[in-house]
Amino acid sequence: MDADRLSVALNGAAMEILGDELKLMDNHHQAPGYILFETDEPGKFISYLVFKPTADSTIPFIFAFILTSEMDESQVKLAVTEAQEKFATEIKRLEKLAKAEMVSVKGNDVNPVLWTGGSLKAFGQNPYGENIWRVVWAPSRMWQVGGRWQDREQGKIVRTVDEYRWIPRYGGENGWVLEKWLSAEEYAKCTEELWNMVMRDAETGLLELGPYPSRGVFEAAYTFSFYPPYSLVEKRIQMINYGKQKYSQNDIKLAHRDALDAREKAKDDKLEEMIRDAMPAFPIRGLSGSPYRSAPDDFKVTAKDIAKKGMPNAAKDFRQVN
Amino acid sequence: MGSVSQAIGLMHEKVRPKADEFFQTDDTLYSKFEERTDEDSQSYRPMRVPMILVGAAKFQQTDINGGSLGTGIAPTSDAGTLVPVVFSQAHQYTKLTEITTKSSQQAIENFVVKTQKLAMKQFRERIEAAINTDGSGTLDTVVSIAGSVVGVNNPSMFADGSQIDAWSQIGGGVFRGTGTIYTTDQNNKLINFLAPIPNLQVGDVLLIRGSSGQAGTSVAGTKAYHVNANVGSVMGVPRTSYPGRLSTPNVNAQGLPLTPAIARRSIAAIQRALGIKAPKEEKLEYYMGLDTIAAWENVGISITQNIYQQQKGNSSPDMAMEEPPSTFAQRPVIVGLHQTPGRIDGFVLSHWFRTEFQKIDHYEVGGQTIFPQIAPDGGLLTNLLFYLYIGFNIGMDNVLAGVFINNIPVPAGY
Repeated sequence: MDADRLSVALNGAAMEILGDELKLMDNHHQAPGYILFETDEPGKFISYLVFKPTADSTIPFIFAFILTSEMDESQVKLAVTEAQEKFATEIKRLEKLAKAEMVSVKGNDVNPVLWTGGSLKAFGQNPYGENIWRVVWAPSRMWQVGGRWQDREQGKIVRTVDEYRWIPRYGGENGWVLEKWLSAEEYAKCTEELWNMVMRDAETGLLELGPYPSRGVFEAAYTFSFYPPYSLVEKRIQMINYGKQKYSQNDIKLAHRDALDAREKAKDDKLEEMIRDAMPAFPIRGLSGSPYRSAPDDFKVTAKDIAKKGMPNAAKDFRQVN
Repeated sequence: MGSVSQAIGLMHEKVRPKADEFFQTDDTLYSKFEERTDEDSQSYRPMRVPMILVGAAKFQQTDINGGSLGTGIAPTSDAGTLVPVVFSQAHQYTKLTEITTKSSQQAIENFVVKTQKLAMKQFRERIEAAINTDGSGTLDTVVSIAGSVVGVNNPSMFADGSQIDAWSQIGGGVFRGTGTIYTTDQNNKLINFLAPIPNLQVGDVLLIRGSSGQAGTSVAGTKAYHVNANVGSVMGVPRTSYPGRLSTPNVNAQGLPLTPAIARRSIAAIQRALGIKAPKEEKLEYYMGLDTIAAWENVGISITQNIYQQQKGNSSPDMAMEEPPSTFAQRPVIVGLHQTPGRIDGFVLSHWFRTEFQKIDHYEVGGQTIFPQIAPDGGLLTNLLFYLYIGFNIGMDNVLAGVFINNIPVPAGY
């Protein structure tokens, strides 16, 4: 298809697909119709979608897409459709970002109530001269959260608001929280640029955890339900540090696997007892009862019972079959 | 001469008094559901799960100097429906195995007791796999194929000896066939089938045997409810009808490693949706696989499982040992082998329930639970059959009360 026919196909597709708000760049200074720009590469053309957020906007959003002379009409139509979809997604994202700059912030940060049971300086300090470990009173520790809030009264949603709020970091926790300072890298494993991209709430565009924590974050490591003595705080820190230094990720995986196996083994023994309970004392008929159900022919006597109590008592240990 | 061959008739044959099991029978999540969720007994008629999905508050500033108060509105309710799904599992042994292993003089274990015990454990493990699905009975997706050896994401979703159905996709897919699993290889994420499944392709879905290959026709597992979308349905109620009301909060890790920031985002999502104190008050619990719990404890802000295991048996009055050993963002953790690698689910179990018309039991006819087979000549075969079965489903009355994290990278070896 030559440039003229491609232009006709493009205009046809635009008429059919694009809405009132989204247009191809207009060639009104030269001739009616939409512009198809030639590129340096023969047979390759570029066109632009234009979107004005409001009628009087002087700076429109522009989205470029490629057409080639090898395309037929249906392929041109497909290219316009794809460009429209991508552009619409991008516009939505940009609008959210613009909106995010204007939202309100409710509440304030306050200094948390600190535990005074002893100095934890010996366990290290961060580059800002603060102790790496600290203990705080859970309800006093605040954090900033952004996104869509669904405020409830008696469990029912009464309003929905998009904003940032300072709220208690540990929710309904009432206790003393041992916190460890983590650098921004340790806390999020990403740069500020990446944080600003991936930490946004999909619906509102707000940063779910507020701005990038360039000075690091104190993160919960252990919760005491009581005011802890120094010795317990010290022991927790030592246990956490020891675990971090001593065990690899694979060691931790194996420990959890062992814990699962141990739980299964404990259930195993109980299950075996239940099955043996359901078996007849004398193997005349084989097993004919479920370990989870009482049936007329279940003999509620185990080998252990026989060893302990002697032979079954007809009046006490057996139930009437019919 | 008195050589050893002459004495062999007198020698005891030593048998190690312990036979290890080489397959997993983990049923952690199902046990938790049994322990912590409500149980509703129902008939075969669909159970209705009512939800008031849209409020009504036509609030306005009013001119009562002759102005109109307007017409009113009312809340909108809808109801999901749940039908229990029946699963069964068949076992058999011969009379000879029964009578030749019944005492400790004959065998290290009673074969009937062992078979019964493993049957129950494996049946529960299969139910565990079923409740980890998305409502279509999909256990996993084919990742690679080499003859009868098929690579998958999570081999724990499959069991030795079980049959699975392969489909090209859910909903209008091509049925590839049924395969019988010989063994599963946990370390290499492989399933060894007895014979190759014809025309099986990478990307095909592997379903519980007997599933119909359609969405919403098998047990509604956790992934049927924990969905962040406005398409599809919840217990038959279309999500499109109530945008945002039937979509579970989600944190997409987008391939970034599991960090405290991601954990906190999931907590923030719950706080925004259910209230600031909700994680504690609603008893939020996280369900994690070995990959995510190991990655989390390796961050270095919690006491690792290894330390707890070292402490076991100590007479130390340390209260830490009495508390849940694993936590994620301060909430208790349920570790299970069937959780999808790279995914963490936050459950508020008070919003989940089980509906049953048949609890796990032996299939019974007239009090009999073990059945002989009939031989072609009309006589009795000396095979003894027994079956386990259950009729149940899983429900959730508020899908907003939960959170899930997905797309966490899975390290090699998980």
